Amino acid sequence: MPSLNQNGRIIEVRDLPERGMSFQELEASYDQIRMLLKKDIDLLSVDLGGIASSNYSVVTFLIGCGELCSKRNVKIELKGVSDGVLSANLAKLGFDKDGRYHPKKFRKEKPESVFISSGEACYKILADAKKLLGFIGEICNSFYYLFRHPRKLDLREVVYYMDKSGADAVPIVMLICFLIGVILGFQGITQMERFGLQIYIADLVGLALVRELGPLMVAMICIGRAGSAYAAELGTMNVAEEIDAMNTMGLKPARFLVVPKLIALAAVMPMLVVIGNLSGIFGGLLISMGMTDMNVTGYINRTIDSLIPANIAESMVKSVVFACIIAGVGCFRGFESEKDAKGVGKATTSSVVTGIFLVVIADFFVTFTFPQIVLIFGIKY
Amino acid sequence: MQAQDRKTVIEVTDLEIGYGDMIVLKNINFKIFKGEIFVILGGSGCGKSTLLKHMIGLYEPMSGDIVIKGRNMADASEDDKDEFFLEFGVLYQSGALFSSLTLEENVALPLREFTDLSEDMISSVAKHKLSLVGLEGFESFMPSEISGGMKKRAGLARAMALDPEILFFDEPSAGLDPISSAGLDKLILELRDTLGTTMVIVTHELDSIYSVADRVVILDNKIKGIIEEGDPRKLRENSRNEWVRQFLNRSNMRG
Repeated sequence: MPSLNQNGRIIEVRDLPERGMSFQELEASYDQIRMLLKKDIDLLSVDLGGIASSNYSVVTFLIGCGELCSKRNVKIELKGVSDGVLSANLAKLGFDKDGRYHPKKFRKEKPESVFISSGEACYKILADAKKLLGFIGEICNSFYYLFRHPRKLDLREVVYYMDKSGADAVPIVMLICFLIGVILGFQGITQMERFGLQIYIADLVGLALVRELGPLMVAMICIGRAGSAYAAELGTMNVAEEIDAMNTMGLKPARFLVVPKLIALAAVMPMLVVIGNLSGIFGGLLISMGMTDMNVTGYINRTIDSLIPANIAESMVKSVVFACIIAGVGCFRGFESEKDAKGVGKATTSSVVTGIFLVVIADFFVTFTFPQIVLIFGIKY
Repeated sequence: MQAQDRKTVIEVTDLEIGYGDMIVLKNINFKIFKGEIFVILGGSGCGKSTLLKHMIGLYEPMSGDIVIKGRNMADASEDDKDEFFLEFGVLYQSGALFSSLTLEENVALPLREFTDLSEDMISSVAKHKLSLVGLEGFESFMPSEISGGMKKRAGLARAMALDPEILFFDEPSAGLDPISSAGLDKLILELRDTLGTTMVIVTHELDSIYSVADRVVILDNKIKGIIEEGDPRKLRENSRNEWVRQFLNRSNMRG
């Protein structure tokens, strides 16, 4: 512990320990100084004889003293500094020769102007879009190559991802879509009962699921399961320099890593949507049997009557489009992830966010253009 | 070493590299000759790995030329780069083996892609390459099942799969114990002596430099460029630059 003496209007600090000070000692000394500073004091004089620049606890002590003194407007005097490095360091810390302590203020970041930040955001979006276009081009290139050399496609990989992203997702797809069917049926029945239209509940559930909710719910599940997994997988490969290695070996990452996942997901998602639609319709059947006097045959007949092949085609088209988006976005985010653990996490998150965003956008376009397209074939929708 | 009489394999002229607006290295000039073990040396953060990544075509340089076997990589298009990639093999810091493939499949992948060999032939070549690096019996192991040193050796086997004339090494001894590291150095020397491969090694491991390097360039992050070039054993004594002498001698002081 250093010794503190009050000498008139001066506090003298002596015998700073050469071995350094513990935190308890520091706190105790601060308390003493605080007590002494309550009286009329002009100067705090610290004797630094024999203190080396490596004695960080003493430097910490001085900073503490400096802060206390500058609050009370008391001068601080550092005496007997024998170490050249120490005096230089003290000057850097803000102890000037007049015995004032001017703590170094950390420069605050100026808030950026709205124009700069919005411009940067736009630039980032455009740069992202450009990269995405390049990525799509690479995938198309790979598909063209595989079209000419079909044997180069690694079917083992395709089957592996079909299993992981498709077969393993069946239980969750069945459960979610079943519940959606039940919820939709319940909501529909409570409203339509008031007008005596319960008979149309089969139409509502069937059409809503097949045309919209089936593909959309399955897409959400696949974004969470498959898309994020692809992003994490490729992100980790990026961290481990595997993608660099692939590039410098002249192997196209798009062909080896993206195409199998894309084909696999585009193949299994329509199947998942069919399974989801059927479980949803089953859910609607159960709830309407419970809440109305409809029987199984009646419900199924109404469902079949209400659906036309074009509805099922819409379901399939949507599922394939969504599958391409989900696999593509997952891989894209994985490829561009930063090369550290945080980067992989960010890539996974943004694969989910971008995936949901693009799937909903695509859903919007398909929903509005599909009736026009089938009209070309003379089918009224 | 009469390096001047030999054929130039890689020539780097007035290279300037960096990320975004930040210049990492500038005025980089050197030649690498056939069959030479060339070491790029420097302290942490001086840009030696970045330089290597430019030399193997992963990044575009800001300006300057990287001529590999008479062709300029710096202004090659993405498609043309594929031809460069067949000229050299790269051993990455962590080996960078494809984690979903066994060691043999890893080595076989480039063979399957770029040669017309039969499956039997590919398998035996892959086995042979793995035995060259002392990994007989590990052909069916997955990369996650072997040690870091073994991954590096397997990575080397894969880099050598197509018998490239140039091999690049990114910090070959990083993360290896001294004995494995010395083993890798021995392997590098053996490969050079038997196959005549040109080796470009990026490292900060001084101990291995004296045993393998024919020539070094030393990078410095203050001048953002090459501070010294030559035989490390000679530079250690009579480099004009004091910092270089200190840097090269520290390995001896450490024992």
